[in-house]
Amino acid sequence: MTMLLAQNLSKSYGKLQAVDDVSLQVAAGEIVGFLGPNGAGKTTTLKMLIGLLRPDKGRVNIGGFDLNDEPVRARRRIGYVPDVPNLYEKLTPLEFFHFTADVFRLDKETAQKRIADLIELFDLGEHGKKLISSLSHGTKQKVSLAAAVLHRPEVLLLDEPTGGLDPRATRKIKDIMLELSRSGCAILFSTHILEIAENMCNRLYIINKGKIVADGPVDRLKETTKEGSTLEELFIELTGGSEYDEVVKYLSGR
Amino acid sequence: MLAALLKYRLLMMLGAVRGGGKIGKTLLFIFVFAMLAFALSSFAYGLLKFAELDPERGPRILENLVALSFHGMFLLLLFWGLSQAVFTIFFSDDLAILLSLPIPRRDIFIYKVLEATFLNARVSFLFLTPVLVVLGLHHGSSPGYYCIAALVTFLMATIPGALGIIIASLISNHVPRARLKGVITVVGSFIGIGMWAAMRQFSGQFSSGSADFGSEAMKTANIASWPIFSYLPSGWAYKATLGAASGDLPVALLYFLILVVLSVALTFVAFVSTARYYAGGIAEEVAAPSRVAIGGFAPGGSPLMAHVKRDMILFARESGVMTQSLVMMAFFLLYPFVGTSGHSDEISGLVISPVATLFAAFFGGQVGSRMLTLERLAFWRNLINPNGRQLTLASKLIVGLLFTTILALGAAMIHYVAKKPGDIDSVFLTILFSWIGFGVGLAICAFWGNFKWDHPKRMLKGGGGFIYAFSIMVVGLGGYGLTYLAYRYLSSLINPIMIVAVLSLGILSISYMVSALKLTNMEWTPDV
Repeated sequence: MTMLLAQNLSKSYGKLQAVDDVSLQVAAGEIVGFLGPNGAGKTTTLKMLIGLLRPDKGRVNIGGFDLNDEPVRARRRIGYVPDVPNLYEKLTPLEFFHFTADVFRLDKETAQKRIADLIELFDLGEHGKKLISSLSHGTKQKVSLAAAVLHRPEVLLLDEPTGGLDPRATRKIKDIMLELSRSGCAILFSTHILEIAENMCNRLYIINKGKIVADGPVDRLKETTKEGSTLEELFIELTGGSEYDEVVKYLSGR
Repeated sequence: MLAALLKYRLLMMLGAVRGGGKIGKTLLFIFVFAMLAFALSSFAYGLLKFAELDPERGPRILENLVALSFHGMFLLLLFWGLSQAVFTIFFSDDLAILLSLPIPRRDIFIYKVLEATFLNARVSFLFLTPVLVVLGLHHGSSPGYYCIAALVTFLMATIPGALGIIIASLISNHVPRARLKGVITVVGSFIGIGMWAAMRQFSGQFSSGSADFGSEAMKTANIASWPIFSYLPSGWAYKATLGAASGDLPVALLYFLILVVLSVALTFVAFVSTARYYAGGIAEEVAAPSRVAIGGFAPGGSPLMAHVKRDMILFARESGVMTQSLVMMAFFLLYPFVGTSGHSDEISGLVISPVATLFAAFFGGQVGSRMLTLERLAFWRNLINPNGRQLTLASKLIVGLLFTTILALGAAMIHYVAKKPGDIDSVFLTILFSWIGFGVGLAICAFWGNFKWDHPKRMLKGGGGFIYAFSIMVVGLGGYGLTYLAYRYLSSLINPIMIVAVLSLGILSISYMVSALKLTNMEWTPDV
């Protein structure tokens, strides 16, 4: 069952066409990677999927509810983890979780149990009553992720969720994503770490200069290039990157 | 190296004026600048004509006005020049990169002091230039006078900045860095208000009662002759300028040298006192700042109550808001001293003066303009929370009005008690005018706030600036005019307070509606 469906999304800023006619879909229980170089339009697309940006063209449907026509119902089904964990700096993680639970109308018992579980899962016990402003970037990222899954979303959108995290935290996030997908959550996440994308994703979308340039399962995508190519080589081929050779030569003094 | 730093700063300033290549912003800047120049020139021309046409009173008023401008500017710099300097020296964005470069610390410090002084002095130049030019023209002064006047203005502006740095260095051991600026702002406010109160207290025989002029304006200008001003840097600046203008060079040089010595000495002390701070680096504090405990934030409430509780916590823990509140409370300590001289205001006969009205409106406006940006970089969450946008505004209104009302009530009660006996109407009017200001502040913040999540520093600011101040002035004084009319002509038909109450509720409603409209259409604003 398709939980996230985006059709013909376009967004421009003045003369810059940030996203151009992008369509994508994610089914329940599926983990889909969203790859692309810096400035390709990944974050803009994700922000349109969550409703932070209004597309110039196109529609977004979350679990059967149109994001534009029924925003409240649609948003109840989404969890979102931004690339930068901009949280309420003057709240403690515990207060932030309580706030999030109330916003999503969780009853008291359910909220308290889930909050306790998430604090344990993310090793946030010692940080629960500290101000968020005093936490490290990685811990803030954990708080952001925990808040995003607190209401058990049907669709989880993550914008480079492993950025700034240590290997242990990265592994934990991967495990949680796998666990959520097994329980039926549709997950779309952007990343620059191709190894994660290759190992975790059922399918990939590759975006470049605002357009989807490839999509499909990893193995099938690799088949489209020469035999034995890696995902990295495929990515470079599709999005460009040979221009960096000159930089490498310059830096190495050749 | 210092020249390179100054050149880099100049380029940044030009970039800001050019508005990132946007022609509209440049034209707006030129237009506003031209309008301001026109207004100031017109004022200066009128003043010159007045001084020429009335040889008996004109020159004296002109000189008093120059003195008053210096004193007013100095007090103003004490209010916000201190914190401006502290921010530039200790917290500016470029400090981290400058300290990592092979630049002598002395050069960085001098550059930063020059930057802070320039930021302080630009306002002084803006408002002092017309009266100083008129003074020069009136006396037929040589070009040397204008050079001395410019230098004197600059030197006077260095003093509050250097004081701010010294105070900040002294208390930086005891106050967390994040709160340093706020503490300095409060200290500056209390110094300024304390000086004003002391002057009122000890200069009674020289105040308006002894003035030989007839009107209120003349009495006000005569404040400049209060003896205490002779001992302030602004008094020395005035004497140096007047000496240079009238050709009394020994006096001009004497006070100019006093200013130079004081300015250099304070700047040197500031330099020495910042050595430890710069040498220690500018790492962010790791220790958790203190929290204000707010009881009862457990899950299980309604989404609206969740928003209200969140805003109350953020409000209580937001050092900027608390600083601002303390500054406003310091202002309100002045309440009994301003505008009124007895049971009713001497200008209009009302129970509340225009100055007190503006205080109340500005206070409410400050709270209103802070409410939306209270959440800082996390504000975007309101845009994706279910029902977030509607609940956001409702909770801002509840929390903001609660806070505004409590503090306005406190200030009004001080005023009421100090007047012995006061008029209870003034208490209600103070609260209602603070609500009017709150409504204006909230709407202006919604429309002109910097909701740029990709730029953390910009997001910290409330919106408005000039538009905010101008709107509060217009609405506050407009409301005052309406109150005057209500008391004068309608009091036999209806309680005038009801009319002001209707006005304030009307403005609050309009503010709520336009803010809701803005929030409904708001989206992420990336900078591309």
